[in-house]
Amino acid sequence: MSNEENELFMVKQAQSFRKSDPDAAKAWIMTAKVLYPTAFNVQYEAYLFERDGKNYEEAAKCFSVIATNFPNRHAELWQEINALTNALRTENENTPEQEFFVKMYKHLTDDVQHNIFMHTINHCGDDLEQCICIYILMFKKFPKSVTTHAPRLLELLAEGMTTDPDVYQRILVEDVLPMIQHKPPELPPVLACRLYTNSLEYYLRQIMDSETEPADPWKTIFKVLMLCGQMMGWEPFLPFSKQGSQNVYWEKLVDILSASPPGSSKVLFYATTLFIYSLYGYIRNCRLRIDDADVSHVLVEGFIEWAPDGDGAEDQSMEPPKFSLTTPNSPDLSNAFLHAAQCWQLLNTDQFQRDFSQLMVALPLAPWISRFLFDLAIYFGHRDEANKLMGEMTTQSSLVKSLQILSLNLMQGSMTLQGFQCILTIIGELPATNGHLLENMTLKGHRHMVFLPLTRAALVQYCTGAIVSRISRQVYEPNCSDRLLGDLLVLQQLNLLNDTRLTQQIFSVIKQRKSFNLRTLSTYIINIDLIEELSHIWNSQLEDSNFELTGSPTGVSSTASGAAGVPPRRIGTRGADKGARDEFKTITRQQIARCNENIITLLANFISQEQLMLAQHIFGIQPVETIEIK
Amino acid sequence: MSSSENNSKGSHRKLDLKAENYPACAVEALTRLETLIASRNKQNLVMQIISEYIFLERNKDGDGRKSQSLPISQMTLCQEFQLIIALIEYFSRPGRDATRNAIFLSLFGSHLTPQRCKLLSRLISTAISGSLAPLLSAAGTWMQQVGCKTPHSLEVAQNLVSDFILYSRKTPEQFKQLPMVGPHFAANLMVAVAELYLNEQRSAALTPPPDALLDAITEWMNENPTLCQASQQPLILPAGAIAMPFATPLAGLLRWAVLAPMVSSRLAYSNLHLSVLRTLQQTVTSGESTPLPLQDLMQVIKSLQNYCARLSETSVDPRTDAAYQKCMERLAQAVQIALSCNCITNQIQLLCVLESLPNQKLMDIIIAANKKL
Repeated sequence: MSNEENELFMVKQAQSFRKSDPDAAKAWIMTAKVLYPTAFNVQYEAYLFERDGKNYEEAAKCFSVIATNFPNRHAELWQEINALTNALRTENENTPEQEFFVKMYKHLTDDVQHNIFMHTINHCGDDLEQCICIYILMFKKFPKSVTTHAPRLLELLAEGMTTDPDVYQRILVEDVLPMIQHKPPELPPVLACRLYTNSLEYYLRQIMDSETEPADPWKTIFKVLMLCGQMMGWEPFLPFSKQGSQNVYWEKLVDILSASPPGSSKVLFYATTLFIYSLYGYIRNCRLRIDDADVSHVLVEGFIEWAPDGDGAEDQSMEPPKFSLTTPNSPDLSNAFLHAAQCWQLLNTDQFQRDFSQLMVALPLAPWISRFLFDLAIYFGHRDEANKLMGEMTTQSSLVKSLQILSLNLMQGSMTLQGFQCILTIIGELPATNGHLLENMTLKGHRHMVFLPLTRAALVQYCTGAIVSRISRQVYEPNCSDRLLGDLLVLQQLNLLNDTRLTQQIFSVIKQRKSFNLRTLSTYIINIDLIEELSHIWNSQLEDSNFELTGSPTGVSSTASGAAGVPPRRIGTRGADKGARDEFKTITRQQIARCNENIITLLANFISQEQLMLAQHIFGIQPVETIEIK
Repeated sequence: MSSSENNSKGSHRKLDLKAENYPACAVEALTRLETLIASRNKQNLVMQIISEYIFLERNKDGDGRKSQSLPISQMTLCQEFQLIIALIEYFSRPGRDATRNAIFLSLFGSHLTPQRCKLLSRLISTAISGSLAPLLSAAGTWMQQVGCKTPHSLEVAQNLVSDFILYSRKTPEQFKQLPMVGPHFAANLMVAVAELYLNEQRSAALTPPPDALLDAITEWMNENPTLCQASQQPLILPAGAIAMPFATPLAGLLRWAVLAPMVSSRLAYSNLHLSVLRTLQQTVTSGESTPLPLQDLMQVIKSLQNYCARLSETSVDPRTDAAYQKCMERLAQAVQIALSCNCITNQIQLLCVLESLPNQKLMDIIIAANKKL
C-alpha cells in the first residue's frame, strides 16, 4: 500500500471515531502525525479535530504547522485563513465561531501571525479594499511592520482614492494616519502631497457638514500636515495652538518662504493650510451669539465723517482701509481676514498660482471662497469685481444682499435708487434680535470697514447713517428746507453724541430762521436733549417777536404722515397766543413722556413711513409723488 | 567495636527512654535518632532503639539482639494509634528532608515485619487523608528505595486501594488531589498499582482495576500531564546513600490500555491510552533508562499471544476479533509514538516479535514503515 493510502486510511479511522470515542480518534491522529509529518490531509484533520473541539491552544499548534509547512497550496487552508482574518477584523462583534478564531490567533507564534497577514495580502489580487483592510489589521497587531509596509499601503490608498474617495479618505484619516504618526515612512513627494490633500479634503468636508464637525479639527489637520511634512523631509511648521496668535504662523511662513526655492511645494502646502485656517477662523467668527441667537456679521463700508471746512476731497490714498472696532469679535475677524488675505495674495503670485488653483479645485471650499473673495473685493475697493462676485454668491439672503449693495453704494460715495431701495428692504426685513448700537461706525478721513452684526439696532443704525451721510451736506447749503432739517433731527436721535457738530449746525440754522416748521416733532422726536434744546430756542426767541415754531404737520407735506385735513396749528411766540404756548408745552410734555420708547423701532418706522420725503431729500426730485419706489 | 562498649553507651542513653512512658518514649526516640543516624557506626543502636522504643518489639525468647526469628510487637491498638499520631507530628515538623527521609527509611526500610508494614499502610493512608505533604514525600522516597514493585510496596498499594477505592462509595477528594500534594509518591504509587491489575504474571485471569481506580488515575494523568515524570526527581537522601533507579508508570498503564479490550469496553481506557501516548510524546529520554523497557512490552505481547491461543482454541480468527484488533491498534499506536521519540531501545527485536503476532492493519503499516528506516 502506498503512503497516501495509509494516510487516508488513518484519517478515515480518526474520523470514524470522532463522535463515538474522541480519545481514540485523537490517538489515531497523533499516530498519523508522527508517521506522516509531511502529509497535509493528516495535519489538516488534526487541526479540524482541535478546531471542532474548541481547543484553541491545540488548534493553534496544528494551524501553525500547516501554515508554516503548506503555504499557498491548499484551498482548505485559505478558507481557514480568511475566516481567521475576518474574525480579527470584527473583533468586538463576533459569532462564537469567530471568537474561536480570535482566541486561536492569540496562541499562534508571532512569525505565524505575521506570515498569515503577508500571505493574505499577497493573495488579495485585485481586491483593493480587502488588501488595505489586511494591511491595517497587520499594523494593529504588528506595530513593527508599519515601518516596512506603510509606503505600500499608502500607495494603495492613493490608488483607491481615484475610485472611491469617500471610503479611502476615511480609512486614511481614521485608521492609517494614527498608526504611522509616530514613525512616518519616507514617501515620494507626489504621493505625500496627494495624501495630505486627501486628508485635508476629508477634514474640510467634516467641518463644512456642520453637524459632524470634529472637536478640534485644526489640531488634527496641523498634525497631519506635520506628518506629511516629515514624510517628505520638510522643515517642520509650527504645531497647532489654540491660543497662538496667527501672526506667529505668518512669521514662520515668511521665514520658510525666504529660505525656500521659488514655488516650493513646502511653502505651497504650508501657506495653503494657513490660508484655509485663517479663512476658517474668519467664516466661523462671522457668527456670534447675541441675545441667544446666532448672528452673522457682514463686512460693510464704514461711514466717513464729512466736514464742511475739510479740503472737500476724499482721502484717495491707496492704503488699504482699516477695520473699525464695532463689536467684541471684530479684532479676531479682521485678524483672520487679513491673514487669509495675506496668504491669498502670496498664493496668487506666479510661483504658486498654478498649483494653488489646482488645490482649490480639489478642496470643497467654494462657499467660503466666494464669500471671502467678495469681502476681499470690498476691502480693496474693487467695485466692479465685487459686483461681478455678488452675482456668483447664491446662498445669500435678500437682507444680506441688500446690505452689501448698500455698502457698495456707499463705497462709491453716492446713493443710487437701488441703494435706497435696499434701505427699504432692510427696514422691511429686520431680524428679531435686538442687539446694540455700534461704536465707531463713522470715522474721520480714512476709508474703514465694519463687521456689521445682523441685528435690528445695527441695521437701522447703518441705514440711518447711510441716509444722514447723503443728506447732511445740504444743511450747509443755503435755503435748505425745514423738512430736511426736521427729518435730519429725527435721524440724529440715534447718533446724537457721535455727531454733535451736525446737530449744532441744524439748530443754528433753525435759530437763524424767522419761522420754523418742525412737523415731525409730535410724531418722531422723543429725545430729551433735542426737546430741551427746542424749548430753549423757543423760550429764548420769545423776545424776538418774529420767530415762529410750528410743531404740527403742514398741509403740504402731510401726505406721508397721514395727517391730511387737520388745520395747521402754529406754536408761535408772536403776540400773546397763550393757547399756542400751552399747546407747545403740552406737546413737549407728551414727547418727553415718550422718551423711553424704542428708538430703533421709531426710526425704522420713520424711514419706511417717510420714504418719499427721504427720497426727495436724497435725490432732490420734485414732486415726490413721481418717485416710484417699490 | 565491642559489644560491651556498645552496650554501656547504649544503656547510658537508654536511661531516659522507658517503654512504660509510651508514646513519650517513641517521641524521645525519634528525636535521638536524628543525631545517631548521621554516624554510620551507630546503625545497630538505631535499629535497636527503633525496635524497642518505637515499635515496642520483643523477641519470643525475650532477647531481641540474639534471636534470628522475627520480633513481635507488643503494641496495643491504642498504642499503634498513638504511634501514628507521634510519627505524623514528627514528620510534620520543619526539618531537613534528608534527615526525615533517612529516619523514614530506618523505620520502614529493612526489617519490615508484617506488623510494621501494616502500620506503614495506615500511616500513609492517614497522610493521604490529611494531605500531609512532608510525610508523603518521605513515603515516595521510601517506595522508590525499596522498589515500587516489591511485595512491600505492592502491599501498601493494595491497602491504599482498599482504603480509598474499594471501601469508599465515592473516591475521596484527598485521594484525587494526591498528585498535587505528593507528586513523587503518586507517581510511584501508580507504578505499584499498575502492577496489581491486568497482569497475567500475578494472576492467571486478567483482572481489570476497579472502575473508580481507573477513573482516578486517568484524572490524575489528565490534570497533571507531567505526573509520570515526577518519579524522576532526584531523591534527597543522607550523604553516602545510593538512590535506586526510578520507574515510570507508563509501561504498566500502557499494559492496562492495551490489554483492557479483552475484558472491558470502558471508554476510560481510550482516555488512559491517549494520556499515555501524550506522556510518551513529551518524554525526554535520558540515556540511562527508558519509560518503556522491552521487558514490559514483551509481557504485554505475551498476554496477547496467550489471548490469541485461547481464540484459536475456539476457532476464532484473531483478525476478526474486535477486542484483539483494538488491543493491537493501541499497541501499534504506542509503539509508533515511542519509536518516534526514542522511548524503545531494542527496536529490531521488538518489531520482529510484533511481526509474529496475528495481523492487524495499523500494526502492519507501522512495522513496514519502521523497517524501511
